[in-house]
Amino acid sequence: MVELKAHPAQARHPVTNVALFDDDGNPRPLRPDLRSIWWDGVMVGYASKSGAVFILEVSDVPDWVRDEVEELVSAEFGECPKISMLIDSPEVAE
Amino acid sequence: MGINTGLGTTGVFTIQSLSLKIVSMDIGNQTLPTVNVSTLATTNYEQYIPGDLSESGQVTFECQFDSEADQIVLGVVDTLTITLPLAGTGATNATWVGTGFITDYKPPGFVKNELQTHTITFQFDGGANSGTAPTFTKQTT
Repeated sequence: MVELKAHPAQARHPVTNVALFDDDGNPRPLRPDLRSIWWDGVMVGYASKSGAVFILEVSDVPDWVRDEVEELVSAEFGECPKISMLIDSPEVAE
Repeated sequence: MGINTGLGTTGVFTIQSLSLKIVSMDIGNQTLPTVNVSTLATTNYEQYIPGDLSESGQVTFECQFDSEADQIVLGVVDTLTITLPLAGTGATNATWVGTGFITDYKPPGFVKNELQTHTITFQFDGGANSGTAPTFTKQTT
């Protein structure tokens, strides 16, 4: 399953620098305008109004995952202008 | 306990949608100046108190060069997210996050028998212009 969650960075109090939580005990996001991308319980990238950025190599991201992320980001931010991934490791010429 | 090596660490510029193929990364030093408060009546050692504002530091990346990627742009305010590898049975990775801008870019050299790598220097802005000061969030289980 592919899903968007809050960005994992946690906000801190501007004066005391204490980590902030909401009333339910969940961390308050440092950057509410950013999201993290999760694939089957593993964080695989980040998203914003600028698009999606995977922290996986191109060859590790199946088309269906890319397509689902594009749909999720478009639904969240209105569009998904760009999707980028890590370049594949160099291959030895055969 | 979250002890680990650097393998698996990633760096992402969110606004430029730039995911870097990092060879090595140095996230710089956060430094606080010192103020000398010694007088002619001080004995034995110079005396200091902490300064007021810390330097937020510069991040330097050495990356594999991708000749199909967009040109690196200097001066654009962006959000850098450095994601640390999960240690042990962690559920959510620790992160370093902050806004800033690229101040220095060294394109790759072209040498036989050597991989093309480029070097990027990113200055944290300390939260200027409603940005985000560099913030570490620990791994959760």
